[in-house]
Amino acid sequence: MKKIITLTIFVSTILVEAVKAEDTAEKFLQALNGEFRGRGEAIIELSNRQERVSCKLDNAFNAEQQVLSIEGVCATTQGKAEVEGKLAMVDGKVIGSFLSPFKNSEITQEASEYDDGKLIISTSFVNKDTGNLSRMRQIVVSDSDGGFSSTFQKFDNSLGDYQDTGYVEFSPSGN
Amino acid sequence: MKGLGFGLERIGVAALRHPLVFSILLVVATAIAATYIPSVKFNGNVISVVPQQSVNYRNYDKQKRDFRNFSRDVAVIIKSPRINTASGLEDLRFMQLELAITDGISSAVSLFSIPDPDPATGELRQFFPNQIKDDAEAEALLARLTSDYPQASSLISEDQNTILLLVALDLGINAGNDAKAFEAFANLKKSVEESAPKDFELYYSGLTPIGITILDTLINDQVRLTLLGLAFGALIAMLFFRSMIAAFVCAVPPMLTAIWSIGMFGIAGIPITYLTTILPTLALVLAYADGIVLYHRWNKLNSDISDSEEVDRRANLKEAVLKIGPASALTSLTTAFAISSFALSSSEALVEFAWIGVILVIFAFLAVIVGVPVLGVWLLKIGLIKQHGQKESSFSLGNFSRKIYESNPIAISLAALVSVIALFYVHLALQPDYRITDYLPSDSQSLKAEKISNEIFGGRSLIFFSVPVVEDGAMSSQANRKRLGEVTDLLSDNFKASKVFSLHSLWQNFEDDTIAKIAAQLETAPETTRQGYISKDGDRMLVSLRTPSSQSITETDLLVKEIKQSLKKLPYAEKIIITGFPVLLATEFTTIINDLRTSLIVAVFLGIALIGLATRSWFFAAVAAIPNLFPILLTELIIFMRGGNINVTEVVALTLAFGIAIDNAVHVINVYNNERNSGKDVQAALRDAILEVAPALGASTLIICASTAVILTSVLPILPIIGELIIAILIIALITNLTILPANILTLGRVFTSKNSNKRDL
Repeated sequence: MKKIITLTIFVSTILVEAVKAEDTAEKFLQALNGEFRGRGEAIIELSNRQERVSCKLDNAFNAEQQVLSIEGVCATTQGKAEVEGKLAMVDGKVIGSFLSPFKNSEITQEASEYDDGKLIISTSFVNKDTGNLSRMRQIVVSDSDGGFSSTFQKFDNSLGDYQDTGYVEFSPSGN
Repeated sequence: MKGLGFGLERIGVAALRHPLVFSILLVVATAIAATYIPSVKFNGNVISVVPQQSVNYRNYDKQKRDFRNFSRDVAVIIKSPRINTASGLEDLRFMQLELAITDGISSAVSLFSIPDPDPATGELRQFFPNQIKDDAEAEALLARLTSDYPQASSLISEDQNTILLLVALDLGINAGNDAKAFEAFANLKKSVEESAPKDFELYYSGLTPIGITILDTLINDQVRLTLLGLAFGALIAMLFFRSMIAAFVCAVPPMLTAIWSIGMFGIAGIPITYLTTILPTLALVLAYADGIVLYHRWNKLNSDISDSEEVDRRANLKEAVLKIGPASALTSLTTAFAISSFALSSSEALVEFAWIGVILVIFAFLAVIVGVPVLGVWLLKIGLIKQHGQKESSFSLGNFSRKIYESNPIAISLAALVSVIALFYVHLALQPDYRITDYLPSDSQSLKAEKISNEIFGGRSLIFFSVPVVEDGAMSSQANRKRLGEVTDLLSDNFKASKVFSLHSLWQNFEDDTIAKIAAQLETAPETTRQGYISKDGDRMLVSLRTPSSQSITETDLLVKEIKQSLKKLPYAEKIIITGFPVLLATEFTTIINDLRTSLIVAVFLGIALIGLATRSWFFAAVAAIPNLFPILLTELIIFMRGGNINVTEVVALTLAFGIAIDNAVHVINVYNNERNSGKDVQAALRDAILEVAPALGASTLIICASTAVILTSVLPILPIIGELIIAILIIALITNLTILPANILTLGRVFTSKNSNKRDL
């Protein structure tokens, strides 16, 4: 009986935590709904180097499907590229990618964790042209002004750790 | 000489007979036209005048399809003493990045876009670091940039504190001056103004701001010129007849004409262009001219009765319609014929101009022949027309004219003939010319932008050289790169190297290996990057030559001939397509202007032949020829003396003015013929005709000149020139038709009389 109670409490705790996490992550995704403009430094497909970048995003959150669709454009002084992404709530977890500037790539693995206004999305993908495998991490942190920042990291095999490849600070359009 | 107006005066008689029916018709037509005025659209696109089927237009279109539409690019000119400082450059970068993600903009380029290839990998890196630390670094970077990349001088002038941001609008290849273009340009301006620091002085150069400036001016001018034209005409009519009612009667037909004319553009869905904008004002002027002659005759008939006699003013109105109506019909026909001569042009826009012009002339005639009788009847009914007509000015233009032509008619006729023959030399010597900046208001920001762009950067009006590749592989092929280098070097040798641009000019100082790597990278670059250099199918490479937008078509034509001559050294010269907006204008406008000049001469002979046809007398055609050629040729002499060049709008103005000027001859001949039919001899008939018609012609010329003088207030520099030319022609035509025409009647009359006893012809 004690075991049953303990198990019940354990399961309940997990369920409550899952619901709490889902609810909060969902709110987080909901908060990313709308138009945003951003500034920072990043690598976009035009170059392999970090450059000054400006971005414009048009995010749409579908409450029924619990999916945030991201469409936009990022530009450097050398040119611009379209960016896109899709974040979905599945089994209480956020899956997908936030900004995916790399075309001709196939995602092989993805994981995410959300905690207190900070979403970390880890993605492994393979370049269809070269066959090279890469690991990337995006950290999205909301701020108090209704905006958010996105930090991009790439796994450096030689160092065995993620290295920053750029960041963009977004604020709602019109602000 | 029955049927001078082909019986069209009967419309006026019918209006007198059924004033209520015709009043309803006038009101309904005017109400319908007025409701369409708000939907009238305007088109400030200069290219709309160019024939769309010509080889040069097809080349221009092909270049846009093969590469991209460069014609809608906007150069944002920034003037600031900070342009060579770290903060100034960072502000520029900020603006560029903001613009690049603005809706309707496909790319934004500044000196920050200049790539600095990594010699080892060929990777295109940015020249400037992500952060310029201080002014010393900014200075050093700019010094290295201008030394390594001479083409950078097309983007920055440190001496003049000026820097450029080139913006390509995302409008597609067929973009014109439509709502999409306006929206994209508005977004551009908003983004620039929001992102620019306050100490940046901003200007916008290029065809899009030019088109929008012309368009805004067209809309403002259309309203202002129409209203001012009406007001001036009414004022002159009031002064001439010394009566408010007279001014009102004379002002109604032009007012109706203006409403119908502008409404017609809305009904037909035809936008008003910078050419057709003048038509409603001219139709209005014609209505004034004919209306005043008709009212003058009615007023005179009302005055020519002693106090004891009972005046039948309605009968007088009918007589005035019957006497003046035929002449009005004929003058409308001659003007319509003159305008219809533009239909001979290869330009669809000018053909459209011709037919709209003809319709508007018909409107003017109908407004007079129906409007004056109907209005007269109603004014009589409510008792606003006085017992007797108003007295007119004591100055007798008729007597003045008579003294001149009677002094020595043979000498006047011979002198006029010799002058006209001599002046034909000027007609042949005039060279066609056109420059787009003449169409920009003198105080506009757009003109200032063009001046800065032309004076500081040598202009951004691009001549393109679409060079065929030698083999597949675009820039990866060494043979293709070699050919691109040949063309670029040849053009750079003949013109200033900094004005010539291609991929070759970008990489000419690099090692072969680096060039090959860059070329390979370009293969996988996005289309927006590639399409500035290589055609979409990879079959053509692009070289461009910058020219000033203020360059005239004659100068461009000479330049293109010079270029073609220098390119002849290349065995594939024939396959290089030379095109671009300045080339298109130079080739097509030269043809259009020459076509128009032919149309002008055709119009003159058609007008004169029409007089012969209407009067069934070639004698009248013969006597009218010299007095009506003289004003055209003398005005061409004025144009010649002002520079020797004639542009599209000037030829159009000459033709329109001729159509109006020949009206004088028609009225003189009409009244002279009436006098002859009443049994008077040649001299007496002529004297009485001149005495009667001269004041009306003087007044109508004065009114037309006054109404046309409103064009002088236009802020489009070309329109005041047109106004001056029209006024010059009208004044000269009034003089020639009151001196040379009667002198010719007397001179040729004697010749004809001595050879032919049948005086009916005279």
